[in-house]
Order: sequence, then structure tokens, then C-alpha cells
Amino acid sequence: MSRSTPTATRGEVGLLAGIAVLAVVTFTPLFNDVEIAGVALIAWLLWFTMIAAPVGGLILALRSKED
Amino acid sequence: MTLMIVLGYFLVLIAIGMVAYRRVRNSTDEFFVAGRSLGTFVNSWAFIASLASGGSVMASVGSALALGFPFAAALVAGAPVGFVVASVLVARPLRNLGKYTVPDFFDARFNSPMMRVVVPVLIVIASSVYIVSQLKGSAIVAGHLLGWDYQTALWIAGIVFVLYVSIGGFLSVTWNDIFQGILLFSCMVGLGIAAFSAMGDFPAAWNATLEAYPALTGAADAHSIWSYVGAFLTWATAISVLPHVIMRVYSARNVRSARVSLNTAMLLFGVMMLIVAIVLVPAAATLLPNADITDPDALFLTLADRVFGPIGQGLLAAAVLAAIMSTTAGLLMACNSAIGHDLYHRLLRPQASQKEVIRVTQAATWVVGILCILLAINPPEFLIVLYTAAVALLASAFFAPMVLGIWWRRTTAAGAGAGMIGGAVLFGTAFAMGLPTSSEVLIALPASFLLTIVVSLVTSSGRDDDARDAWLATQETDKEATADAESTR
Repeated sequence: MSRSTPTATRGEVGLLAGIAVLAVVTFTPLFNDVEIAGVALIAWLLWFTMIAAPVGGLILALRSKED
Repeated sequence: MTLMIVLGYFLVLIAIGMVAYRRVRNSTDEFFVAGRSLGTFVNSWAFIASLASGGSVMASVGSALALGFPFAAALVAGAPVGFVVASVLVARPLRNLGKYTVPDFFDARFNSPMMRVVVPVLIVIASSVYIVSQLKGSAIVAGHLLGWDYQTALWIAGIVFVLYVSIGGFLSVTWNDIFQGILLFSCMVGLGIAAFSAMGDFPAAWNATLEAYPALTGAADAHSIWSYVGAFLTWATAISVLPHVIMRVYSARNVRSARVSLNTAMLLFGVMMLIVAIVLVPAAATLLPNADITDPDALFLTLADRVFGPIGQGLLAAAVLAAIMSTTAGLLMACNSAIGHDLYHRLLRPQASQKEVIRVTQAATWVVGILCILLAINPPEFLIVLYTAAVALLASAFFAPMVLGIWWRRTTAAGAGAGMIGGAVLFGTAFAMGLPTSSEVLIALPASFLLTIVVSLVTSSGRDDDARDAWLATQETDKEATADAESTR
């Protein structure tokens, strides 16, 4: 009997999509010249991603019922 | 005082290894994955200790001043994202599989004789490079703080961690990681507070830093934009296939615990890296006006000397050594299990007893450890770039075959093998061509995906269906839990 592959929840797909969109925006050349407090926007966006991604992942993991 | 604290720290590590030895000496389950009994609190701190290394802690301040905030941010931000990616894409399937190592996954999913050799060999090569870079860091720290010459420090620190890994296995690594993770996080927060106080007027210090180091601000000056993308992508994908991270996923009590601890650890790691960027970098720039940024790895310790008293310096030395040794120990554990479990037990002597496998693994720990110490006697500069190349090799080779193997049922052994070999070869070729730093993965990773997909489609003849269905059977229980979770939303 052929078995089906595992599936991701909507939250998981949304989290990965959000990270991908944030990464694309971060590395878009359009924002190369933008600075905040004297530091390029790319650095601020990366620092934001560094905190926001695990927060999102943690919320999803805590909501899951798997054990 | 510093010497006493560091020596005391070394003795604690060895003592923990000896206590762990009593539990692990006769069981591969205990030796390789600590009996799969580790809870969320334990694994969270252990994940931090495993990831925070010589590069991400000690080299962080100097690398930012030398290479700029954007590149330093690209190097450290990829890892937290990578842990989230791992928690979604691989944590659940691998924990449900219930084995020991990365090669175990490829064996269970593809049943390929070629992969039984290639995967552990690649792990040993890349992990050894990573270990060498960490050993350099430990010798610099010990030498700087204790006044030892580089080689003496290298041998002493190296022997200590080889000793506790070889006798206590993964359980020893884990217990030490908890201790090391808590010590590291506390000391980084303490250093942040002390440096912030020493700076006085923070806005003035921030502006003075940007004036003194104009390279800090810009995105396009220090490196090509492809270096930023490559550094970020390397870590965002590599975490899912790093052998010492995956072993920790296997060791979790259950899937939920593995996922919660992966994300908790990275949240704490992100906070540490923000402290480095926002507080420690301007502190180093203003408190150390004649800082030598050509030796970026030593700047962090010089800053600690400036803002801490003797006890603080000793604790920080132990914390930095903790960061380095815990990562190195995890990598050494990955190397020795690739040799003892994946090569010796599975390929050479399947009939070997658990005790024999553990003994071979312990011997492999010493051989790999001593070889890495010898290689670290003349190491290259910039720790963080060196070990990024090592993990990029693993990401280029393993990420596409692993993710597609889990999530795309039509992936075949031939396709995964082609993606694996193609990714590794292309990464090596791109690295030899001298492309912009860290950008090699931008060629190797998409090529690995493409090769895996195309060759899988061409070779999809039904021959791999049995192996695939056996693998999918290990995931059935979990599917019910996922459906249950979905229905509650």
C-alpha cells in the first residue's frame, strides 16, 4: 500500500513564507542606501529576523499538541 | 584568580564526564542520544551551547568592527532562522524516526549503499574543519587569559574536551552543555551590563563608534551583496543538517519538546547577539580607542579585561571556553558517531555488540581529537569565515536531499545521491575559484535541489517504493497528532 507524505500545518507554512518574504525584502538592492541611526537597513532587518523568527517558531511549537 | 576559575571549570567538565560514564558505558542509546530522555529545559540550554561557538561569541565584536554591521548581522542572523526552519522541516520527521545520526535518516529513507559511505565521510571532513576553527579559539582564550603560549593552551583545552566526550558520550556532552549554556548566557548579559555602564553616555558612544569605524555602517563596502545573502542562507539551511544539532533532536523526549527547545534556544541566542551588536561593539570602539581590528578574535577578551574585575574575567574566560568547547564537543560527538556507529557498526561489523561499538567510538574520539589539535597548530585567520565554509559544505550536500526526501514522495535514491554529490562538488569547485566570501552556497544549493528533482523524475521507476514506504510508516503516528492539532485551530 502506498503511503502519503507528511504535511505541514498552515501556521508552519505561513511562518516559513514570512521568513522568506522578510529575507527577500532584506536583501533587495533597493534598500541598500537606507540607514537608521547610522546603520544600514539591511542590518536592522537581519536583527529583527533573528528575534522574530524564533518567536514565531516558539508560538507554533507551544500551540502544537504533538507528543 | 582567573587561572583557578578556569582550572576549576576544566575539573568540573571532566567530573561530569566520569559521572556520565557510569550510565552510558553499555548502551548505544545512552551513549549516542542520552537515552532519548532530554526535556525542554535541558535541550534549550544545550542547543545554545551547541550553536554559540568561538566564532559567534569571541569573534563577534571584532568581526563587526572589521567587516561591518551588515555582514556580521548576516552571519549571526542565519542561525536562528535555521533553527526555526529545522523545527518545521526536519525536527518532527527525524524525532519520529528515532535513530541516532544524520546518516541514519538517509539510510532509512533511501537505503543506498553509496550514501552509507559518502554521508559519514562528508560529516567527518566538515566537522573536523569546524573543530579546528574552534580549537584555535579555545587556545587563544586560554593563552590570552592564563598567559600560556598558543600550543600549550591548545593541547590542554583539546585534551580536556576529548576526555569528557570519549568517556561520557552524548550524555556527558549534554550535561556539560547545560552548565556551559547557562554560564555563557549569564556572562554575556553580565558583560553587556558592565560595558553599558562603563560607556556612560550611550548615544554619544554610538555616534563616536560610527565615526571612528565608517565600515560598520554600509552594506556594500566590505563585501559583495552575494556574500551577505550567502552567509545568511548558509546558516538558514545548514542547521537542518548539522550532525550535532540533529543528534540533539533525536535525543529529545518527544517532538514538541524538540521544537520548543529549538526555538527557545534561538530566542536566547538572538538576545545575546543583539547585546553584542548594540552594546559590546560600541563599547569596544569607545573604551578601546587603540583597538587592533586586524586581530578580531582577541578584541572581545580585551574588552572584558577593560570592564571586568579578576573574578568577572575568570568567569568570562570560562564562559568563552564553554562556548567553544561545547560546540567542539558536539562536533566531536558527531564525528565519532559517524565513525563508530555509521561506518564501523553499520558497514564493517553489523554483528558488533553495543559495548564494542562504544569502545570503537571512544577510540575514534581520541584519533579525530588529536588530529584536529595537530591541524590547529597552524590555523588560518577569521574563525567565523572558516567554519561558515565547513557548514556550507554540509548544507550544499545534504539540505536538498533531506528536505525533498521528507516532503516530496517522488524523491529517489539516485536523485538524492546526485543532489548530494553535485552539491558537495559544486561547493568545492566554487570555493576553489575564489568567489566572494560565503557566496559559494548560492551556486551549490540550488544546483543540489535541481539535480535531486531532475534525476528523481528521470529515475522514478518504482524501485525505491519499498524504502520510501518503510520510511513513511515511521511518520504515521505523527500525522494523526498533526491532524488533531489542525482541528483545534
